[in-house]
Amino acid sequence: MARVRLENVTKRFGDVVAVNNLSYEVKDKEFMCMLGPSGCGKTTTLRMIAGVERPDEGRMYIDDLMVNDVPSKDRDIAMVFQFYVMYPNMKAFDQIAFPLKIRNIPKDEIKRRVKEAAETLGIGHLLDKPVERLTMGERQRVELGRAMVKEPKVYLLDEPLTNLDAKLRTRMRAELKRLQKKLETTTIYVTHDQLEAITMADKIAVMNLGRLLQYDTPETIYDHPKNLFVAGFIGSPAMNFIDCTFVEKDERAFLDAGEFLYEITELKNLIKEQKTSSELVLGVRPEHISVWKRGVKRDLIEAQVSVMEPIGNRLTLHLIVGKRPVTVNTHAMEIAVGEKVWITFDRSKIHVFDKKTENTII
Amino acid sequence: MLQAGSRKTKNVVVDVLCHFAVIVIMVITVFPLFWMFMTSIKMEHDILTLPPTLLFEPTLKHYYFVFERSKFIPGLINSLTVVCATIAVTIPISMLAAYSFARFNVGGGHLQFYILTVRMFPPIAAIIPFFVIFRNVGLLDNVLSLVILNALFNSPFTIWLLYGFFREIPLDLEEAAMIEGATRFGAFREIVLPLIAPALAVAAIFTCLFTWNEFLFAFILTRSEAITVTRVVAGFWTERGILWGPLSAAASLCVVPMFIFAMLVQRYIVRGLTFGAVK
Amino acid sequence: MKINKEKYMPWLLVLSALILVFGLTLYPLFHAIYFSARNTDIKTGQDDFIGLKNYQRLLNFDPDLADSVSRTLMFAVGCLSIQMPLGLGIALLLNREIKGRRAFRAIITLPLVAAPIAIGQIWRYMYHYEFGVIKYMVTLLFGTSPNWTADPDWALVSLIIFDTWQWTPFVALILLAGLQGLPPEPYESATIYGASALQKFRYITLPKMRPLITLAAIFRIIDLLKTYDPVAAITWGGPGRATELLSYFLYRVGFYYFWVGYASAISLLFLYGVIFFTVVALKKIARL
Repeated sequence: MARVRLENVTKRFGDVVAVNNLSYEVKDKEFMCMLGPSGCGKTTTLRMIAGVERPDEGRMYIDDLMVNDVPSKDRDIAMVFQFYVMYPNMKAFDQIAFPLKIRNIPKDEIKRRVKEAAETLGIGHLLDKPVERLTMGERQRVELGRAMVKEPKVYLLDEPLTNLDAKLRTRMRAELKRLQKKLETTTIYVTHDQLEAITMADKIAVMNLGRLLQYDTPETIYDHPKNLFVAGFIGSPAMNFIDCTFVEKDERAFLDAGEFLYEITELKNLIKEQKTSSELVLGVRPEHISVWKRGVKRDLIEAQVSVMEPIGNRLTLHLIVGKRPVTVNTHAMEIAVGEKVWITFDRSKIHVFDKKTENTII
Repeated sequence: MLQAGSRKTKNVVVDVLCHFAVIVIMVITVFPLFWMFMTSIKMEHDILTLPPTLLFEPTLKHYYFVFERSKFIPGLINSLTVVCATIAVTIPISMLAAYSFARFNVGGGHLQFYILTVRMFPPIAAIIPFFVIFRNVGLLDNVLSLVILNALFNSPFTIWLLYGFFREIPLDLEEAAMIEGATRFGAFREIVLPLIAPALAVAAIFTCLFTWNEFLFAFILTRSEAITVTRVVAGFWTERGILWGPLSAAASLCVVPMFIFAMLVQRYIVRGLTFGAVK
Repeated sequence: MKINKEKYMPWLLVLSALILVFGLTLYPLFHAIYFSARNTDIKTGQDDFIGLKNYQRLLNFDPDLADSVSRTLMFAVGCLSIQMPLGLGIALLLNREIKGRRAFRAIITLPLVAAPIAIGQIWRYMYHYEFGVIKYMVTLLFGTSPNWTADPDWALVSLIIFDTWQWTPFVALILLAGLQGLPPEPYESATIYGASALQKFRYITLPKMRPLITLAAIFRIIDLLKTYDPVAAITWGGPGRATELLSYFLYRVGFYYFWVGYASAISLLFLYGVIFFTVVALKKIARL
């Protein structure tokens, strides 16, 4: 059993609050991802869980044991660093064997465990090579092997795939996920790549500027982002944000975006309840916008095609609505740059944010 | 929590030991220098006495002796001359040589080995032929002979230092300037020179240190006209015995300028020592 | 015309620099070779070609030369075996977050910049068999003390101590720079996997520092074999010949007895010896 729980953890570096009152719980065998841009505090948090840094406030628990004062080596964790740490002058075998060698585990036992880990990772044939001659992907796997032989309760991974090329990264993503399921060990994974988080994690903790913004499953975060930042961070291409003002006329309500008016009468009361001002942001994902070549239906907004990115049977269109850029991801169609088109939003999938608080209203 | 406690005490003990070690090392390092100053202001009877005295009546007579009765002042002038002249000669020549090695790859990469070899050459061995030549040319007891020899022996180090620095400067900078119409020489002067200035400073500093402290060449090649400070310091051996008082005073005077100098440019010294070492 | 000048001028400058450097450094070498085959007496102006007689004398086991060589080797080995570990220790010390670290680093630079001939003589005074403060303090601590520079058995040790005092900071500063350049991640990783401080030193610090340690050792070996100033300052080669290191021996041969030819022969062999031993030591240390 290996649960990890953080309660009100705070860490400061001088005047900068790197981690601000962070609390979450990772369940046993869960693959949890800390996601956020550089400097959001995710790596610092990971290092605190590892014991390399100490929190200024708050408590951390591994399996209900408070580990704030427990030295790293006694926490039963293993950490994989971003730039794969290679000890000097050691072959791959020794790199992986290091944790065991230090504990004076008998040689045969070491051999057995290292071979096992290497086979699982597909690097069994590389064990005798000096690390200088391994590729980046192979080195990354050596470091994973080192973490594995320790047979820890929790794996901590710090952006392990960031330094690999795109193709390798895609492959390793799938492998890591498969591996984690097979090993059935709690894993905490740090990344700034939202695609990685969405494809691999059971739960995602989205962080920015030291704060936890949302802690949910990938689907929930994608469909129901709690605030502007999360909405904009997850999803590629990113969600379209359109500044607008809440306008009421007679019994109807509109979002006035300058170039167009979007009726939202059915959501009127909901919005009025939660908004702090009439400045709102309309959010809609590129795949929830439909493109029409002729302006026949109502609710249509006029737009002009500026850039086209066809990929297979999908098409990403960059349109200009009035002066605003809007990105659309739709099925392939016959269309040309500069052409005038009409777009509609999928009503069930739009989001409305309060501009000031940045919280989600819808 | 017992574990956390013992870890803390172990850290504290190590810490205290380290601080203690630092203090001990500092004391050992400074003591001879301290003793040198002390001796230079002691009366003879305080110098030649057992147990060594810490409290005594200070005197400046040894310093007077050094300035008035010994050749310290001419020595000082000569030393300064030699140092300045050596720097003036060594730095530009080394710079040019290093530049040519770095840019034109003269000698095809054997430079390092050559430099090391010259450094291995024992000065005493080099002196003999020069002694003969200088004697034939009448350059014995002349500041010029010292300048030549010091320039010679400092060149390997300065060339190596500057060579490393030149290699760090990308060729593109000069090429860009030359495309703009500058001559190679002009490009060098405008662009490379400012970049290399700190390295030149380091080289000059080391040359200054080595030349000021140099003894062997001065000892062999000078008699009375061109003696340097180091020679003067070694000149307090008389038939009656060694004049410890004036010797300490002269030693202090010889050493103090370099101390002050070193403190001021300490950062550069460390950089020069470690540069090229930390490739 | 302009093109020609611009093309040749820099070459000219560079060439002149190179000629000066190479010429002046290679000249003594050729000169030494020349002289080593002659029997020149500077005083009488005698100058005969005697072929390899000088080398013969050398190789016919001139006992003074042999003694001097072995003394120099002992000196070098003694100094090196103390200065390298001590320098590493000080570097490790300086690498910690200690109060007054900068002052500490500044102070240990001082022995390096003091002229050996000047501070050396002060050490001579400190080693004095009657009034020397070192003798006094050692007697206080241990009840008895050797006569340092006056004792043939201890004279070489006195020199070793002096050289260590002066040059250990050199080793320490070089190694410190190396330590400061080490990345923290391997250490963090090792901490997580449970390595003790000693294990971290053995498996991470030492292997990574090996090239730099080797370099520092080479610099020291070269300088140690050439040592002259301390001998001239502290012991004058004595008592008797107990501290007559090779450079000093050479000085006496060349400038006391004025056997220039013999001195030249020795110089050449000295040079080769230094090169040889440096290369050997290099290989040995690299393998450690």
